[in-house]
Amino acid sequence: MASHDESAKKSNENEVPTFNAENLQSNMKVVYYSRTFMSIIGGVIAGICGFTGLMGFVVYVLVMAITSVCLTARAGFSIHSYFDSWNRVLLDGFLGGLLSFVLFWTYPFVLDLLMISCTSSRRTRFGLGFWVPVSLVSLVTKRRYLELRFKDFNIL
Amino acid sequence: MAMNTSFTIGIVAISMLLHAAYSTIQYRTLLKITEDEFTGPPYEVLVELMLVMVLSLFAGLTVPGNFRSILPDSDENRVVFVPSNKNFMIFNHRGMAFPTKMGLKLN
Repeated sequence: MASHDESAKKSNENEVPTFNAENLQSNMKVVYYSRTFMSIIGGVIAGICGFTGLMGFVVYVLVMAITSVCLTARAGFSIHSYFDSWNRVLLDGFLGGLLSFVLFWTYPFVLDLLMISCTSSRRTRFGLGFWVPVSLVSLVTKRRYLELRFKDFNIL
Repeated sequence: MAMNTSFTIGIVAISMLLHAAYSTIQYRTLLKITEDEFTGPPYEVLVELMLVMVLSLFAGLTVPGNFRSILPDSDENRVVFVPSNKNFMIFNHRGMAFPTKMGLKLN
């Protein structure tokens, strides 16, 4: 059974901790995606609840802490078979989602102001019930097309 | 199949979030009309937001994929290094059952 995995060897004097670097990288990607998604959701929630100022950042820290706990639970509480140190899963992407959080945190406030201007704008032939599904379907088909066209490029 | 259910749960969570945002904005316009101040979203929206949190946690952890073990001696990491140099590959095939005739010449 031939395989092209590479294992990184870090040799110290007495112990030789080896791990599969490719799997470690894929685990890191999973952690990153999870954290980004949760920071976006947490941002919108903070905006809906109307938190301003410091309370919003408290919400962010809370959401990230919950995500860390859930990630450790997902790894079955035996971190060492999936990551090389606790820091990677607990602290690594902690501040990475902060920018997305702040961006999506502003959206409910912005939409609140926009709603007034939306209702008093020009009427198009089709309403929301048409344009929302059409734009969603067009987004999904564009994504699928790109995935098929560039599936050998391994971008994702 | 499990990927698909988690993905749909994620879509459901996002649509519930948008619904919660929409109803909160409507609530706020109502408050602006009656000139009260906005202390927080209504209770149904809070319940909905808690549901969104739970669902999106589930979806956000399941959709990106499974954790793969990094220990070299776990069951799924049985790696056998085989030299991929084609000159040195040896195959057992049925032709080995036939005796080779030495000394054949091309005329």
